[in-house]
Amino acid sequence: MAFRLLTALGISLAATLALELLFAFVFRKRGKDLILVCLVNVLTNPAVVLIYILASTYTEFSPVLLKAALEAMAVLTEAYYYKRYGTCFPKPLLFSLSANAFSFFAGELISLIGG
Amino acid sequence: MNKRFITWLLLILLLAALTWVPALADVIWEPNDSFYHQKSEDCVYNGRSYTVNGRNGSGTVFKEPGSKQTVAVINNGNVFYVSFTYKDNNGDNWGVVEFNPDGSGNLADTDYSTAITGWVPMSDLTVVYDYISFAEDHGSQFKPYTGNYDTFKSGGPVVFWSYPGSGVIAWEEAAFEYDDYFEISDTFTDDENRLWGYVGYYYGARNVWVCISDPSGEGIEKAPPSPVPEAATALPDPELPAAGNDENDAVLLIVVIVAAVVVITAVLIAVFWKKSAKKEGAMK
Repeated sequence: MAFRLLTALGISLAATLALELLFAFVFRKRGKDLILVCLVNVLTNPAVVLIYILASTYTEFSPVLLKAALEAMAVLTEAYYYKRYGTCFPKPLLFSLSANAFSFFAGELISLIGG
Repeated sequence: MNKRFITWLLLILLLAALTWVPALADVIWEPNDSFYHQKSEDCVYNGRSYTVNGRNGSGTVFKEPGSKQTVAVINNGNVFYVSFTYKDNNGDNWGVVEFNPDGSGNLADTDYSTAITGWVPMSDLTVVYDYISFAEDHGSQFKPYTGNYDTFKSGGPVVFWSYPGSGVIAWEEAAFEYDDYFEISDTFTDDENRLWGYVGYYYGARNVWVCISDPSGEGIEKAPPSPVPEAATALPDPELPAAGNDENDAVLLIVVIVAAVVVITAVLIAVFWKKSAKKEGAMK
């Protein structure tokens, strides 16, 4: 369990950082804004993955609903940080939603292709 | 910027549609188990019944393969239905079960609205003799059906058996109405020279046999439904995980580390981005 947790946390954080930084770069985030995107994901991703794995293992919550609720919280948290600390985030909620949707579905696609 | 956002969102929707295709294609009933939901792609459909036959007189149901968390301990002789199996990193096979324990180490009738799930080492289970076992033992004697279904067209009773000689009735029709969906693929002739026919699927009945020589089954004796598993030797199972705290401590440590990462990152952002904002404000 512990090993599975650590592996999941590591892979998930690495993949999310790569995908969301790519997304941010495409949308012309540079310098401190790019570092902010990185830190904000370090803030939310391990917590979301940890809560998801523990809750889905030890409770009977629906995995789909659980994932949706946690992703929604991550989107709102990240949007708050972009709005408060970002210098070039005219629509922080839209950016957060799009970046998370991109990394989530790209991750799902990679999992599908990888089998 | 707006056009670019729309392009990306369309791309995201396309990715979403691709991920949903396998879900739509999946029509097999699946257990309501969290580990199964996470690892369903690595699980293999089984769909057979097994008798608990653990070495220490019982079989342990765990929360998930390789877990130390015990869901229930079930006495030898009880029968589980295993819908899917999973092979862990050590090469051990586990079966997912959905059941209602009666509180005394035995199984109650399964009520899927209240049933609990768990994983049993397949080494603690012995398969209940079924149509697959029968085919393994007698498959070399099977022959393709070349008849014209005459004995089934009279509208009389027809009994469907789990396999020839099992004595176990899977389903019966008091007034069988033959139609084109009724199809016998293979036949088997038993020691009493009775001809049997295998029906893969017929109106919800799967993998059943009919006696072509005696469709109503009047002259067919009821044999023991399944071989009784050999008595298990009461040996302590060296691989049975003992309840320990090491795993829990490791998980707790990971929780603490993640909490620390969250707090430290939040503080870092607050400190450095606040300073930055002040600096920018001063420059203006």
